[in-house]
Amino acid sequence: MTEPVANSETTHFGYKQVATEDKESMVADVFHSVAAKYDVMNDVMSLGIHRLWKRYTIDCSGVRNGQRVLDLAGGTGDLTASFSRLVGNKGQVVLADINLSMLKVGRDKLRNKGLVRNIEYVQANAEDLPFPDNHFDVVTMAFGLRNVTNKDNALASIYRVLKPGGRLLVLEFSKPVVPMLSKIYDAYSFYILPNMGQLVANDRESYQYLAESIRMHPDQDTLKSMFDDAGFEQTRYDNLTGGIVALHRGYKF
Amino acid sequence: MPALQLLTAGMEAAINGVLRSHRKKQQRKNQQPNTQPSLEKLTNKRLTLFLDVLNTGITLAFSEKVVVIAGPATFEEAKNAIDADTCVIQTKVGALSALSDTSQITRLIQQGDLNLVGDLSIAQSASELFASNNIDFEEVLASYTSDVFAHSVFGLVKKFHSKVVKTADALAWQAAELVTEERPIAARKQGVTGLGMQISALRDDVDRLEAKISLAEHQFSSRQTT
Repeated sequence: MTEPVANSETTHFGYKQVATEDKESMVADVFHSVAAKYDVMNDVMSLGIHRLWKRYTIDCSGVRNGQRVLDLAGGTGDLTASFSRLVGNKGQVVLADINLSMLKVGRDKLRNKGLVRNIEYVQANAEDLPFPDNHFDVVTMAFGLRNVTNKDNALASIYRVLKPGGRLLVLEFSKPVVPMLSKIYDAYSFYILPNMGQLVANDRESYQYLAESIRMHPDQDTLKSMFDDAGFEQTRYDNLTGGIVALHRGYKF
Repeated sequence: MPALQLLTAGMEAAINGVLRSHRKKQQRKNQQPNTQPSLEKLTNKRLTLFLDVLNTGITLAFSEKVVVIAGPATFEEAKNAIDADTCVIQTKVGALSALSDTSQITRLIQQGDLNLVGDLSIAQSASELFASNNIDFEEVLASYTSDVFAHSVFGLVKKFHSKVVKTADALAWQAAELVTEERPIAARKQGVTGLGMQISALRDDVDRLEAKISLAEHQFSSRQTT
């Protein structure tokens, strides 16, 4: 499939070209629409594997007792739940998301699990984070970066709020590295996913956007370069499930 | 698939499942759940295990439940990151249950079967917690590190595939039936004719009954006048 090219006044919304200033609200509409069924759809679409990808992220985070973690675009709080237990009573986790519907679902879910003491909820734009400089030990972003309008701004903002010695982990869909897998993945994304979205969530369009937005996201090496350009050091990535998903890491020194 | 994460996910589910079930049993018996004191003692503590059956460390982080994460990768790395709330152990999986007994710990260290850095009481409390809930680490790990696990996963995948194929076949059969089966949308001609004949017969019966009633009325009124 041919992919559209953005210019400074337009950007991608999946395969569509839209005005840059409109993308944020269009993405917001998608996530308002999917928020209530987000978790069940993640399980259905990935056959539960997304939980293993997120566990891998937590394992790589090195989060310790007493630390301060930002779970950015944290949505329904999967990572926050584990971080809350890992940082303990002396630590803090901030669950931040630009979308209020997703944040509410996350807050309700975490409170129902009894996780109330060390979690804060903030509605925030990744491109302009409302936190002090050098504030967090770890920042994680799982399946959120591809929805950001200007990823370079987001990476710069994250760099600012990280403490020296802190690390950023970005878990995101990427480019499969196995050719046969790539074909199966394309068929799955463009034919099965939207139909699943219609069946389970009665929302075909949002899952069509999901498939397209994945294709428009930078590949592994491009994203690694973006990390480098933002000032991160010792950057690396790990391909998971044949490169369908990649975990990028970088440190601020 | 991240295999190590499958292991830690399974361990976490198994441990917390047993703790939860034990707590419920105690509550049903109207007893204080005896897992609570042990877990509370361990809140905010971490126990990192380097076991003979695994090639990396696994860390148990205790709160209102137990979180199991993979790492650190080496004993040296874990030793360098130690703090007041952490204990790092290098041992055989079979020796874990002995840790709640101080005299056993000394013996294990002397025999070279145990290498321990950090707060010993964390290891002892964790061992006590697992022993009191009959959590056998060796058994839990065996489920995920042996050929049995690979066989079960493979078996599950085969079963799932077979179910999907059967469901698809059934759906295809139903779809084919739906397309080829004749479903009349109007009453058949013979049915309409039959119904008409029945109505005529009914009309005839009603007419005969009316005639009989009229005759009976006439006969009755004739008797009255004579």
